[in-house]
Amino acid sequence: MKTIKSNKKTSLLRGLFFFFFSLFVSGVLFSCAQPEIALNTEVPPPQKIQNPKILLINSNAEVEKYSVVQEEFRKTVSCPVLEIDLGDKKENYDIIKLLSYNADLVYCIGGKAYSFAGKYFNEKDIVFSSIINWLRLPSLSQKVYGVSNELHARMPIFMFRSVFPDIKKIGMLYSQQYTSQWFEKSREQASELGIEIIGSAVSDKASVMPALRQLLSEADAIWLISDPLVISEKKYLFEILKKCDTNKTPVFSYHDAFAKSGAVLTVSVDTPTIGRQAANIVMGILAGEKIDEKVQFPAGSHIILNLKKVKAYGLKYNKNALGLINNIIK
Amino acid sequence: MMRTMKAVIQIFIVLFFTFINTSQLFSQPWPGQQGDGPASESESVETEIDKEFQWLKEEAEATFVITASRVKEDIRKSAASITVITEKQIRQMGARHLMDVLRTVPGMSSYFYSEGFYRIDSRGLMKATGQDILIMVNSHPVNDSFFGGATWTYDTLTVDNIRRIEVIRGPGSAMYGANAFSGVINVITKEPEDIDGVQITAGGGSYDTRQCNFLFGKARDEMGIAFNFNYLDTDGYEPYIGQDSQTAADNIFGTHTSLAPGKGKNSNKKYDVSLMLKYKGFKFDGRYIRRERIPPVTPLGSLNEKSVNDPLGYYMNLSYEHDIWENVRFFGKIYRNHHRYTPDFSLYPNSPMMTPEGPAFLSEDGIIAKPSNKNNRTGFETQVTYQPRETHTIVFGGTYEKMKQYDVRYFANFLYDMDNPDILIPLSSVRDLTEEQNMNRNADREFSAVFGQWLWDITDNFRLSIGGRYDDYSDFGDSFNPRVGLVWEIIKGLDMKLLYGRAFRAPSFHELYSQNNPAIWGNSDLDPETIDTYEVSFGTVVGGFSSRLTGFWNIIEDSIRAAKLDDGRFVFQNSDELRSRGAEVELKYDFGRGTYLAMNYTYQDAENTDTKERSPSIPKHKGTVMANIRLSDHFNLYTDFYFKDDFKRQSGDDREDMSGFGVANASLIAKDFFKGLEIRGSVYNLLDKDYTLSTSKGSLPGDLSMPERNFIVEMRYSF
Repeated sequence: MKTIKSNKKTSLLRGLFFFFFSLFVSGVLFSCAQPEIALNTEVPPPQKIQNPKILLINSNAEVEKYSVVQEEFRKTVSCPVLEIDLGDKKENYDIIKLLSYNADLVYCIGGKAYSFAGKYFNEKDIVFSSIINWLRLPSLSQKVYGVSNELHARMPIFMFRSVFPDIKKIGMLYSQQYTSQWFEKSREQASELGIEIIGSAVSDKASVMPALRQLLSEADAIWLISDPLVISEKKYLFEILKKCDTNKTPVFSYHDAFAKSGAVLTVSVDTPTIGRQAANIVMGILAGEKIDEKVQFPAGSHIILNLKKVKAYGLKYNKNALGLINNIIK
Repeated sequence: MMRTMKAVIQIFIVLFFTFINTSQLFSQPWPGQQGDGPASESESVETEIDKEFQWLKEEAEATFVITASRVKEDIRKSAASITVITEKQIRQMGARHLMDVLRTVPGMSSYFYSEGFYRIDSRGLMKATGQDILIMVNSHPVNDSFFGGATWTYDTLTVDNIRRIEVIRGPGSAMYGANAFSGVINVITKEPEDIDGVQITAGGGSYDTRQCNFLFGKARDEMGIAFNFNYLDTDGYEPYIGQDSQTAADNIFGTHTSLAPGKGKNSNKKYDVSLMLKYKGFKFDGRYIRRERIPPVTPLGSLNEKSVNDPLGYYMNLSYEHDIWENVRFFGKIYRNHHRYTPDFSLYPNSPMMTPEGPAFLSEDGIIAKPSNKNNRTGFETQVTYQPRETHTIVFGGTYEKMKQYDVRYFANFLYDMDNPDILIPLSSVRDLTEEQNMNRNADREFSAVFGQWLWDITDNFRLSIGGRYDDYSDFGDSFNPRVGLVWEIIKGLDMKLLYGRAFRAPSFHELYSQNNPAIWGNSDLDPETIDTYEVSFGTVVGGFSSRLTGFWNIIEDSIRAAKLDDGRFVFQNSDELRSRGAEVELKYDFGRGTYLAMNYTYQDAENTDTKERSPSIPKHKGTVMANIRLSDHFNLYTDFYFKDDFKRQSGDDREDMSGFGVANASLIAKDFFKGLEIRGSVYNLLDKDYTLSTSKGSLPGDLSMPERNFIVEMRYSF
């Protein structure tokens, strides 16, 4: 085994190295002792901004989910808004020009917009929406607010339990990359409601179906969430629905169209409401109001029950809970 | 030039029409689509689903968070000096091959060597055949065991199927083992789903260069295939050589056999085929490269007309990856690498040489030597990745490998007088001298290794990584190589990194077992070289501006060099301690939408700590300035300027130190005028600078001139 030979220069180097090492250790202890305090200055108390200006960044206005939110936002706010569309290939935005617009607040629609804002406008107040699983964002600074794309996990679980009280184990496909935090939160909430969530992490397209087969052997139902790795293409969505259908395992999901394609129960978010909520947060910040809830859950939802599938699978369901359903497919 | 352009167009048209109809095969709907899945009640449901997937795809492309630690995942968080060059950047810079890409990497540079291949300088450290740099393709090492490097075969690796290149400056033995000494270059090729179609490229340019590339990839259900074929044929730049080593002999003997003054040949013909097959968790990755290269100069420094190097290399590896438990991922691989070394040296053309009877002439073909060998590396590797919590990632694994050198042979038309290496005994023809004076021998080596790494996010802005690897070799013994890295995000936009790492370089079979070679003898008692590296780095990001300052200090022990013995022979020995220290500065301003201005500068000071001599042929200052301008949706202009200065000759070399130089390059891309079609024109040495690269003492009397202004034009069609 080789060992390091010592000489004067090596000793000096080691000395420098240990100096820096102790600096790091100090940094660790500091960070651990005061985790809530950032090293930059505390945010001053909010103040009303006179003649505020808003910069709105849309990840891609061709995506309907983004454009609907943008439209509702514009209808609700009453101050000047400079809009840019990161998805517009013809648009040749000039960063320097955007910076010199000197917006008081940046509203980001979608993950790319948030990433863009974080890169160039990290000193501004930022409000986000329409991002998959906001829990995976880097630790939100004091100046970041948002509207979650997903409902509070308790809400859909409550619906599942209310309509299907016999279902005790729900399987969930998720990915470390996009939705692991959401999975953990859901599992926690479900446990409080007496339901066990069994998760299976997928790392690539190839592992989705094997993971699903594994879940089907254990779970009473499958909860299909918005994860771009789990349903990376339409064909995987249909394969999952088909496999569950063959197995007569109900699928719970988050989008109306999935109910029409074979899912048993969907609890979806009302997209325009997200735009209005974001607008209210923005106007509140600009008015100097204190925003207690940094990230709000969507206020509107829509529930569809595919009763046709329920009967085809012979599932027991709670007829008294049908009053909670917005739309029933017969 | 007209002939070359005509050939380019002809190749392109033939390939285009041959494969255009195959596009029909890949536009069939997938199972599970409309009509095959659960009932879609109406077109509006299908439309709603399409819109949903449009959103999912858009969100999938947002890249701010990857790891479960909730820390921004970018290379700034890695406790190493890493540069990642993306496919887009490679395309924009007009890179012709792997070595071209390295000119933009801070701390790294490549040099074309007179024997027809490239050498790589990483922070002031450079070995003859790149044996201090581990080159990997898809994380699979491709260094051979004869020379220990990979540049003999893989230096001009095609870039058309590369997704990205990760370059690490500094030690990598803690994870990758031997020869990850002063750097690691990992070439990641495109996966089937990245290609998703066909891409045909044809190009041509100066020096009668012709190149074509065919890339195909498709993923379907749980299967995928990616195939690439590349063909290159070029006469290459033929450097003018005023005098060579034969000129000196002519002066002694009063003969006129030297080919100098004249132009050295530099042709290169290459076939490069790669195949990747995927099925569920299984992956097969293979590559075959065959080259025919005529270098400008022979190993003895004479202008060359007839010497041919035709390396051949292939590798195959079969791997399997699977989540065996929650948060536990298993990876296993078996592999086989093969290299064939079969140069045909015409060492001195039609030359007089000293024999015991006095000067004598050999055949018209001159002094011919043909050493050859084959090398295999066969082994398996397993790795487990475990994430018990969001803030901890643990990787551990093991490797076993067997190296075998066989079929070692030697043909020549002369014998050495072993008592007097300056005297050659002529033979009437080229003969098999394997038994009498073989230049190397059959050899075996085995090693087994275990490695582990722990990545711990202590807090949201503080990351610790600790790793180490223990290798046990059957010939030279064992080596333990640790690595510790600390990354601290001091405040948002400012980070600090601290790194210590140790690496080793295994002596190659050439260094261990060379024999009967007057130029150099092997030494079977060699120990591995070791390097200890210390690094401190600061990085900032403010808006579109990013910068990094890195200081490094390397200490190399048991450096393997050729030392002269009392009997006059040169033998490989572990000798001096070397030191390389310096700093790298990187600056970049991103104007957005693909327009940026960047520069890097490296100060590197490498010297032998015993003799205080600077490392020869290594510049003290080097750097690159790059600008990429997205002119419009259809046009992109890239230009760079790289410079090197303050060279020093080898001790005892009386020639004046080589002067520094700066070279500009530019590349213009025009695309999407016709869907899928892209045209690229690149000019190298735009300002037509006259410059040279130094040659070793005792080889060419002068330095090797480098290409004047030259160009390549390329067309690419994707569908």
